[in-house]
Amino acid sequence: MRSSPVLNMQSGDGTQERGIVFDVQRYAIFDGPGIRTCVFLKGCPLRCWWCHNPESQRPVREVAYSSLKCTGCGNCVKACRNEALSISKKGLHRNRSVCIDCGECAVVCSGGAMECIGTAMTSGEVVDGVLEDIAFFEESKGGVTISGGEPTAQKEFLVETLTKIRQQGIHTAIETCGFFSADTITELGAVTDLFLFDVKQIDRTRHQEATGVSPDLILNNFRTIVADYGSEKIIPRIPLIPGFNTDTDSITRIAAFLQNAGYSGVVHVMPYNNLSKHKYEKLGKADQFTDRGKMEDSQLECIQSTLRQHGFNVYCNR
Amino acid sequence: MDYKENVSTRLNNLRRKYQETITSVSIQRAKFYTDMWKKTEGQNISVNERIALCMNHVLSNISVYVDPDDRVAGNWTEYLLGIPIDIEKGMYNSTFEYELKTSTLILTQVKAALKFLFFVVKSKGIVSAVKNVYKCRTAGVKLPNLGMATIDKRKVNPYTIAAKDKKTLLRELLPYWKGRSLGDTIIGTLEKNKGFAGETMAYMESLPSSFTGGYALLSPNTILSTVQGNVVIDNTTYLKKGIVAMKEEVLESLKNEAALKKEEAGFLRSLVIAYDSILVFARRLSDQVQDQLDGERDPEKKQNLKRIVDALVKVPAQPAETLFEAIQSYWIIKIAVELSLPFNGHGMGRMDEIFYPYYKRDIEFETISRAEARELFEEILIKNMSFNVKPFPNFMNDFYHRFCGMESVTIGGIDASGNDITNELTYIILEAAFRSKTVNNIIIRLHKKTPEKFYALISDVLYNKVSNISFQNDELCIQSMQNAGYSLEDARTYSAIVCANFCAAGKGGGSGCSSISLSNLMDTTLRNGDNVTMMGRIGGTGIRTGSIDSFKSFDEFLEAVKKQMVYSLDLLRNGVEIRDALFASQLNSPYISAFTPSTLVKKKDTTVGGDDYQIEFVLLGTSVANFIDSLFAIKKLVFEEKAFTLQELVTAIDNNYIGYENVHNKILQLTPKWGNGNPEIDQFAREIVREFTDAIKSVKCANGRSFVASIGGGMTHTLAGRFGMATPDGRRAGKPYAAGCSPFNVECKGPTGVLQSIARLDLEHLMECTVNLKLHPSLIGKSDETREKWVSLIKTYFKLGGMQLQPTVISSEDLKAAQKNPENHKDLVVKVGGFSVYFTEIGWELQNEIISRTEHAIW
Repeated sequence: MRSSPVLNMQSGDGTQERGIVFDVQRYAIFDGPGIRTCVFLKGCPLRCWWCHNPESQRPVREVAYSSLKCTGCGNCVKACRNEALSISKKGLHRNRSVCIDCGECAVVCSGGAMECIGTAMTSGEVVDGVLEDIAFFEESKGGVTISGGEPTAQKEFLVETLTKIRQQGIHTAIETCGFFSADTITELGAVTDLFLFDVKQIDRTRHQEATGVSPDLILNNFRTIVADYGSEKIIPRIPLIPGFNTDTDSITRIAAFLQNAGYSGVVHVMPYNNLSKHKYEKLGKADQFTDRGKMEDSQLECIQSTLRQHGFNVYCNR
Repeated sequence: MDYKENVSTRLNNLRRKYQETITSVSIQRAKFYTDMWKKTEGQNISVNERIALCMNHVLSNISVYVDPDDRVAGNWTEYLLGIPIDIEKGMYNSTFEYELKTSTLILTQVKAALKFLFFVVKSKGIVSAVKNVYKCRTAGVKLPNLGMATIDKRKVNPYTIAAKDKKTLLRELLPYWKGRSLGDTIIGTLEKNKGFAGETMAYMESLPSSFTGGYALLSPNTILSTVQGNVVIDNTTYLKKGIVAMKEEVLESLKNEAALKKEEAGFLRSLVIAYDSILVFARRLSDQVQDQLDGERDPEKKQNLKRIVDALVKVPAQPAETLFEAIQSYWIIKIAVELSLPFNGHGMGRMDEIFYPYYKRDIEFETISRAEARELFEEILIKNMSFNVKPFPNFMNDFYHRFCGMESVTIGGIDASGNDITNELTYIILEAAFRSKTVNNIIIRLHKKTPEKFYALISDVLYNKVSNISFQNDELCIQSMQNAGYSLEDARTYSAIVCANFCAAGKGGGSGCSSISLSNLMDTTLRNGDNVTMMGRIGGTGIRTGSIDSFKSFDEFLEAVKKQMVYSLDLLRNGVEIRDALFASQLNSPYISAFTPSTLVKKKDTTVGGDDYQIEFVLLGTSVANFIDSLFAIKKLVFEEKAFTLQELVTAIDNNYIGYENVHNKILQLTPKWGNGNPEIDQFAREIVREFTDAIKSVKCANGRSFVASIGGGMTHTLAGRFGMATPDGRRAGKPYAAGCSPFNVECKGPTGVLQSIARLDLEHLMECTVNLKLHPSLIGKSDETREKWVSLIKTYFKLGGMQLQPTVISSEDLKAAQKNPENHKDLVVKVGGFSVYFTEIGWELQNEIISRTEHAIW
């Protein structure tokens, strides 16, 4: 693995964890109750082929580039210490094998085409940021959701941040793929009011193929949370990916799993969209993007009704 | 039944006609007014009476358009969609003078071009003149131009006029009023009394168009409104008492004429004439409808026309009893008042409160259904658009449009004793606003007791993309009314006028909207008292506050900007005093006074202080956001970090940052920018805006009129932007400024950030604060859950101290599609400044500004 200047997780004074945050979205209304601020942590153990946030996968700062905004001024080429950048008739080329994502090129970019993704922040800084919207949380009974990437991939930082947010009397939620060590459930459960928990597929092979990991740990964690804390503390979310889990069999198996786990309540379904295309392009990963098209409303309705037949309320953000 | 369904074909057709018909110019008002004005010349009667007589002659002779489909009758011209000419006020006389014929158009262009050349060469020399043209080119800015299209051939806002009328207008009416109209007199008097700063007048004359249409540029930083009387009249009394009883009261006061002063008696007599002429007008309208009725075969239409005739036998002379009578009475009075002062921004008042007693009675007696009542309001809302058409000069049309919803409707809120007034009509009128898809401004007053059910309707209307509504925070607005001098009771009854300004109905309080251009103020400071625009340098527009390298600290610089502000305000005060004196002596308002109860007590016209409150709105224009970000950049980069000097900044500005990308980048990369809820810059903004609003507030005119700050600005941000050089916040030359009180598209923290920044301003000293928020419909959503979140967003914003919010709910893709295929998107209503407009009717430049606004969306 290449070294990165920002992977150093310890801050200068060595007392506070620093996490890599790649975005903070305010007025998030699909990530838990009320008006929320959503903090996105970078780094994910899964590699889902449809990933909507490809910029969230690697746990380090990355430089993204948008050719549309590039003025061709060449400032970045001059600024690069590792000679990773060159301009030809084809446009700007970044030699990823020597680029260390230091971000110097973004600082001098005149058109705003270069952009650093990922900032090292202390939990205190994150808390200060989310506190700005506290008035909106109070009125709407909202709070803060930590998402990713996979937030538990930066577990120490996550727990510290959640603890501090909780101390302010703010409702906390995490959005997780569920792939974390079973030992951490108690620790997480103590500082999290709500788990928004992805359940993607029950079939082992298909899950393994599509995400790079087996679903066993995920499904076990789901069961444990329901058993330990009850259904109030968790909401299963199904990303609906055409060709992966939108068939009746997959949905039925998910519904059966939820029932068996003792879960009752609402299920979130999140239909696939192709809006992440430009993100792949900016990261120089255009080849990794496959467009599965927009889901038909009729198909979506069919899935929702299957879930309802199993006794769940369904909520869809479309 | 869903309120969105079953809109009548009749009303859809009517709106379509309004959208597709070219506006006709009617000269009837101008003709009859002028005839009587000439006839009464040299006779020993007061100006008040003379004006009342002129309008009496107008109302006794004009013919108005009556449609067989009308359910409420009355129009202010003989055309379905027409405008009268305010010839004696003359705000738009020059448009007609120049733009009716190709020959005058060419002559005007040539004259202006010569003057412009002379102006530039004289002040700068020929080299600079050429450089200037080059500068505009490189900035991609088109120099303002009247174009070669006569008024009927314009692309935006065209007008047609009958050949005979054109002749009368050009040969007889316009020449008579040239130099006599109030507009001309104001300009002339200002010139004589040092009303214009430095070379401003020479600069203005060199532009290929006059800026009248309600404004006089005293300096590039200081704009005087030449309009007076943007008010909401008292609509309750005549409905309750009838005009005859009101006239009796005046006659009672006149009985003992010997005890009255001469001008008092003159004024009271003018009221009698005004009431009488309204009665004559109503009778004549009734006759016209009767004629229509006689020729009508369709039984349903006959019945509707019959109902109008029956009502007009009674109202407005007598008290109204039914909702229909009340609306027909209201409409007649509205037309009479509009005709007396065309193109003013007269608010429609609190319509749900005004009409509720009549609606309640009708429902109890089962004489009207809810749907029928709603259709009457739909009709009124569509027809109200005709009062919003203004014959601006062609060169402003890239920035303006035909219907600017200045005749605001107010609904909801609390009454004089503090109780919630939300009633069934509040819902009905909001539904009517949706169904009619008009570009009226529907102002919704929100407060702690506003029912949740009403919020649900609001969310649904917005989600379905009809953006003709805006919200006012009652608590804060009432406080700011009190801070401006209103009593608590009067403050509680506020209703909207013009954009989102407010006044108390029937109490006066609303004058023109003058303005101070903040960005020009800063430019003047950077140029030590001159002002540079895209058209060249204008000397002596401010005072000498020191050369650019004399400022040792940011505070010194800010102090200099404030000095320029004080200078501008002094210029404005002088202008307002001159304007008011001329209104008082030349153009009284008997028809406004007739519906302003205090004038009868004071025995004085509203133009001479007969109303309860006299206020001048002073807009902080072009724009708070650009101004704050600019000052912040100067503070941080010039004085703290010393990244570049002020001189270097000015050189970069003069070159539109071309070749000075290093300076530009530093500015663009500087964080925070205002509009992201950042406490540091929000506090900075609060202090600065407060100092400037305080400066405005401290001005008192000799006639007692007080100044109150407002932050809005209609559509001036694109127009002013066209002339404006680049600004220190990184805005490029010729580009629009931020609109109203909205951030300059530098916001990236979502709606909560924007709203917090705005709420942190000290808004309780303002009388307007328009905040655009362009929302993707997904942000309101379909489900109750997301809508509740949207409602708590508004509630929190108001709790934090926000004043106003005017969302435009539409995606950028839809806007682009509408720009490309206007034919398919005629009903698309969006918000600009404080107005609602049809997107496809506005100029290209303004369309682009709306498209470029930050879109808040949820994915």
